[in-house]
Amino acid sequence: MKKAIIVLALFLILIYPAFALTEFKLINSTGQAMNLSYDLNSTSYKDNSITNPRAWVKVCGSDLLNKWVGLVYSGGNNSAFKIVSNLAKFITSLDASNCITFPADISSFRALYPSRIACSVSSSPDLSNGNIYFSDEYMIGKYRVQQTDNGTHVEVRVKNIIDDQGNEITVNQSFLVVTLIRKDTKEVLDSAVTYKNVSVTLSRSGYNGDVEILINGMKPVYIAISLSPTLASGITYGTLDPGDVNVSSQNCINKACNITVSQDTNVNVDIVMKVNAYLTHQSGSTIETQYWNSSLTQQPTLPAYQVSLTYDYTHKVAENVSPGTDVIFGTWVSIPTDAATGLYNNTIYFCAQEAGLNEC
Amino acid sequence: MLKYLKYKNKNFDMKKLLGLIVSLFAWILLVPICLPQTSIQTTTSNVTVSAYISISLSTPLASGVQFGQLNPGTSDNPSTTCQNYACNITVSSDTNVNVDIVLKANAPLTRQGGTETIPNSGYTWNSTDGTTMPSLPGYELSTSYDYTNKVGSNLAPGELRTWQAWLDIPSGQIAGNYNNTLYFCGQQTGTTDCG
Repeated sequence: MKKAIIVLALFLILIYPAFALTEFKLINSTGQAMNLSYDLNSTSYKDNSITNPRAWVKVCGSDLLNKWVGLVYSGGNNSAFKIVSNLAKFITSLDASNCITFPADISSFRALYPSRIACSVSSSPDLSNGNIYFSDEYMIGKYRVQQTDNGTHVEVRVKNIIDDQGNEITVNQSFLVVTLIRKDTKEVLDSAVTYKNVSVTLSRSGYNGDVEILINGMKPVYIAISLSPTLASGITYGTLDPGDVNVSSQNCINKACNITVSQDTNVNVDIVMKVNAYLTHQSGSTIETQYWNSSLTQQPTLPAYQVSLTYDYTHKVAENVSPGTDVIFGTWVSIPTDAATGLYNNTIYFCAQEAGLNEC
Repeated sequence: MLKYLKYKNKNFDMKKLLGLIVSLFAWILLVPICLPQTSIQTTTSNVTVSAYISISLSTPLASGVQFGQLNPGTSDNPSTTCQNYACNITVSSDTNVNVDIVLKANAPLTRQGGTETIPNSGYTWNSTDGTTMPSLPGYELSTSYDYTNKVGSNLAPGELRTWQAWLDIPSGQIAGNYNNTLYFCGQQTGTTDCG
């Protein structure tokens, strides 16, 4: 008998149609997709406020009937989520397209932080054990986090919560759903709910590959740059004579030396540079007259700035550039007339930081 | 050691010590390895500065080495130009390596309007560091750079060599005006770059 029940249960699980939403949006009164901005008056992302118009949730799916739907903070699984709506909506009817639109009813007590708009479709009014879906709309803002990874666990601390105006959100509640996902498949590995500045430790669940962090469904500020192979392999000026002036590097010509802002960077960035030391001879003598220039459109032809031993925030390699941007780099050196013969070298650091900040 | 510590200090708590060590390791392991708010890439740059060598001749030397009017059958006649430290070869201060100076002549002294020569075997030279005047015996002038007998060896930038030459006039040497060209070459010490 027990065997029969188990087999029946397995059969039901197998034949039960996978639940799926065909559409999920946050829309305004005219049916247009809408994002929510931070409302200073209510210190929340509440709709129907001074800052935000009233918002509606539109969901479509053939098997929504008799399900509870509500907006949540989530990273994609139902083990850690926070409800954002005042009340979940019980679906009792659908239109001919299997859709329903109902007021989002976003709570000023719960919609405290930026998020990707998500909903849970559940059999319970508390939205437990529901299926999580993401829309393409946001409560606009961003997170900055600090994370450590020891190979089995990732510890995450949310350092900053920034609204859409660039202001720090100071309300401190446990409405931060931190989720660890695989970078390739986006599969959720672990998740937890925390406060700002309170670290949580998430398990890699045995996965050793690249992972990403989501905070309330959003990727925190992420910046990555790469150097073109020519630039990465080292800049060489060749053999020069004392007294030579403004000689271009041999390899940073014809747009061969590029710094590229990765496509998965999610903020505009400034790129700054420094050198570990001036070009240095084995005797310790140095050549300080090393210069650089950069451009977004063409190979720089004239030296503009002398290299600096600290990141030069006055003269940036690139300023406020978007993900995917290529920055063309050129560099020159002048050899003092009293320079000793021999090889001089140094290391150049290119650092990308969120535009307008000095974090390098 | 632990026993000693226990003996010396009754309050010593080994568990606390071990706990401290474990905490220290844990802290080291948890030092942030990633700050995704910035991205840093590095590359190297290098330049090789070539040797730079410059020498100069004192004005009398540059204007030509004169021996004056000499009689056939006379020996070791000093140049009249290079008296009293007048002929110097100086390594410029912006030279960036130590230098050897070598000498050659384009040809033996040759009579103007003729082909007769005064053999180099009678044309000798010597040099000093400038503290004394050069003296005989000297080295025979060569028509190729003489790397054995150098005007100066391993001279630092700014150093000089004082130079003098002597000439023998063989008996029966045809009267006339004889001349040639001297080449002083500075090269990085230890090389034979002058050719």
